[in-house]
Amino acid sequence: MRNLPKIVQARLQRPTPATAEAHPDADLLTAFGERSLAGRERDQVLEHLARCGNCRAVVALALPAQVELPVPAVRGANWFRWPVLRWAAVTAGVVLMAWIGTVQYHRQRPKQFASSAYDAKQAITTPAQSTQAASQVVVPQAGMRKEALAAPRAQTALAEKKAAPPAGEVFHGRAYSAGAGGGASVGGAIGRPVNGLNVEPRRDLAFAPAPQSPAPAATAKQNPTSGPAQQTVEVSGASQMVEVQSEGVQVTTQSAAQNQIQDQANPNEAGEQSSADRVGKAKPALVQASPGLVRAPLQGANSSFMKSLVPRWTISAGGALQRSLDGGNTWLEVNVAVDDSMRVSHLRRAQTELATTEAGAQTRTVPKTSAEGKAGSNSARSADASAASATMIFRALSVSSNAAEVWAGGSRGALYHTVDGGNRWSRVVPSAAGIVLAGDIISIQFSDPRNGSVTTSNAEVWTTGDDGQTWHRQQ
Amino acid sequence: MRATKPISASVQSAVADLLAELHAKSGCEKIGLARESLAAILCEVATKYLPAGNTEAGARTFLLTLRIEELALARACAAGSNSAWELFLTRYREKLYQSALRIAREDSAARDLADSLYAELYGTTTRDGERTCKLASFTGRGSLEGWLRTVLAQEFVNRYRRTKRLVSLDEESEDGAQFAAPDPEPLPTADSRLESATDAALAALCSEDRMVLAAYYLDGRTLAEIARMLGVHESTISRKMDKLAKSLRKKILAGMMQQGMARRQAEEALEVDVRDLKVDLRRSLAQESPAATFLEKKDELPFQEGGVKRQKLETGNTS
Repeated sequence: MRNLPKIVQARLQRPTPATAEAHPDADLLTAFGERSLAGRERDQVLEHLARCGNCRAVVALALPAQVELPVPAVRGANWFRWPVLRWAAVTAGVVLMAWIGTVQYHRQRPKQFASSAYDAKQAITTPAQSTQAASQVVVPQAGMRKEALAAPRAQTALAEKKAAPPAGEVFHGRAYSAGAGGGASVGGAIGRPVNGLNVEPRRDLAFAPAPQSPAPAATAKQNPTSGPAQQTVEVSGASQMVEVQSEGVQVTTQSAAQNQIQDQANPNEAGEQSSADRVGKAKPALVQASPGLVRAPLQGANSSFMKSLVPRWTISAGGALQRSLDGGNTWLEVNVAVDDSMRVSHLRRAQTELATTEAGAQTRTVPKTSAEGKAGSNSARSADASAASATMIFRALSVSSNAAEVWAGGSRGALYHTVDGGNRWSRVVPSAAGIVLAGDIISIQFSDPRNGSVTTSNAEVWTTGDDGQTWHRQQ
Repeated sequence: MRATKPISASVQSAVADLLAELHAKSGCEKIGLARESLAAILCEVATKYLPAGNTEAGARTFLLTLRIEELALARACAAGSNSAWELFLTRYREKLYQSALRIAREDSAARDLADSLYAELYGTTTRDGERTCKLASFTGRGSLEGWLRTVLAQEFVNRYRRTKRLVSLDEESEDGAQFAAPDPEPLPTADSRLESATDAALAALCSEDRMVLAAYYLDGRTLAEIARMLGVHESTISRKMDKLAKSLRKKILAGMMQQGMARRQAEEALEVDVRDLKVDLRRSLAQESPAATFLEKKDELPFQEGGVKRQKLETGNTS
């Protein structure tokens, strides 16, 4: 019984003497039961029914027999019934969301990592998006660098402070203080995991360090004591991946810095693919840095996302030109002389260990170059000449910022040039006024895709202003 | 039964207008019903149900909602058409018996019920020397089958009531007597304010709600039965019941408080009178029988639960 006050039932019953009123006839009751009454008639019948128990009984009794709906036989587990399908749909949705979340998480994580590096070095974040933005950012950086020149102390402190354990931070700190090397390295690190960003950040980054390069040099000049300290940080921070790009310091110190920056920024802004930023590569100088120190950041750099398809170039201790397609883990000797069959070099998978050591050794040219860089002299001159042998030995390397255009020079005037990342090589024989470059090339410096210079062991400097088509010889 | 009301002009014109159509629909030819008789029947039915001052459009609508074919069949049967009877029996004999069985719930009673209805339908009863056929009162408002069920149910209820009355008279003579005399002092809990508040609350309900309440609480109908009576879903009725119980309670309380009772007092009054309600109920039942009949028997009554009360009652009567 529902919670109805008993008094209500009592009072309901009370007006039972409804007998004075005539009962509705059978037709009306039938029509009421069949719901074919409407409006006033229905109300009247209802009113009567509310009071007359007999008529209520008549209506109730006269109801048609209930049609027994055939109860569908309970079938066995039917997986296609709606309730089942509904839960299946929900489950599928949950699983799908979880899967998407996982994928996104794995995709986002390296990005976040990279973006932290981007954030630290704000100038780079935008360039990654567009070339135009890149050039805009590069210029302020140059300005910023000038301020840094004025306060070399702060610069050094900053560099040291930033050389913190987190990989991104370490890289950044190095980039900030050392300029080219670290910057390029960061660029490479960032560019790799994000497909499609590979080339752009690298190019931009290669530009970005350029204006920074005067900093260490100036620091060294103005504050000799702080210079080496800072460079130590750089060296210890620099991984093998830095080796080629780091030479940018040399280049930019040789060139007139500020104008050079603008020159580099402009072609970049124009969207020119082949970079102007060519860097010379000298023979590794013998610097007493422990390999362990060099390797430390490399471990961080070797994390999965550091892998890259952007080739890296180096010259082994034996004078062989080597290329790495996996961010410096393995190095393969490159046969540049396919066309003229000067030398059939066999491809050799170098041990990572070896490569690392070499890279470290090469990287160590950076501080030295930086320290002496103002004169623009070749620190690589200290290279061991005895390495020259009957076979062709490479001594100098210049790689454009996008790593596609490479100049490689070595013994007896061997000068090779590739514009497609080392797939096809062409030999270049610089000649001017009937004199052919014949000495051992010990240094190649290209400040932009067109302008560069080659230094030989016999103190000849060959310059070109048209990407190696014509050369001028200077004693 | 003949229509006592004069046939209005609007009904006449509507019937004349629709006669051809309705005649064709009714299949009067097969069952031997003249077109004129059909017109007369339609006029009679319309006059009976349509309120005075109806429009022709209203009459037309009404005529079109009639079950004209079944109306014609019933009236042809009443007029004694053999073909009509044949058709009627083929269609309804079996159903009639089944309905009777369902109503009476017992085979012999069902046969009895069905037979008595057949007698009425055939017109074995006579009034004023004239055979009256129950089918002549069918007006086609509902289906003929439904009408037959209703007539059966009416007959059943009448008989049941008659039997019950006989039985209950005996019972009442035994224990209904104690309430035959009016209670000398009104029960304190059956507060007049409570009663009036309850009556007001009930009166404020619409007839359908009251009907539902009565069917559920007085007739003991199930929610399903009530739902079928009203042609709605059972859950609708269930919700309606809950809502009604709540709102009635609130309204009664409000009514009592309006009459100057404190809320707590009103709530108590509403809760307390459960037992007194029984008294009240019985008293209202007892009112159906003449009170004086049982007065003499009061001395023989065994003194039961209401001993004190009865003593008072006796003293009241004797004095």
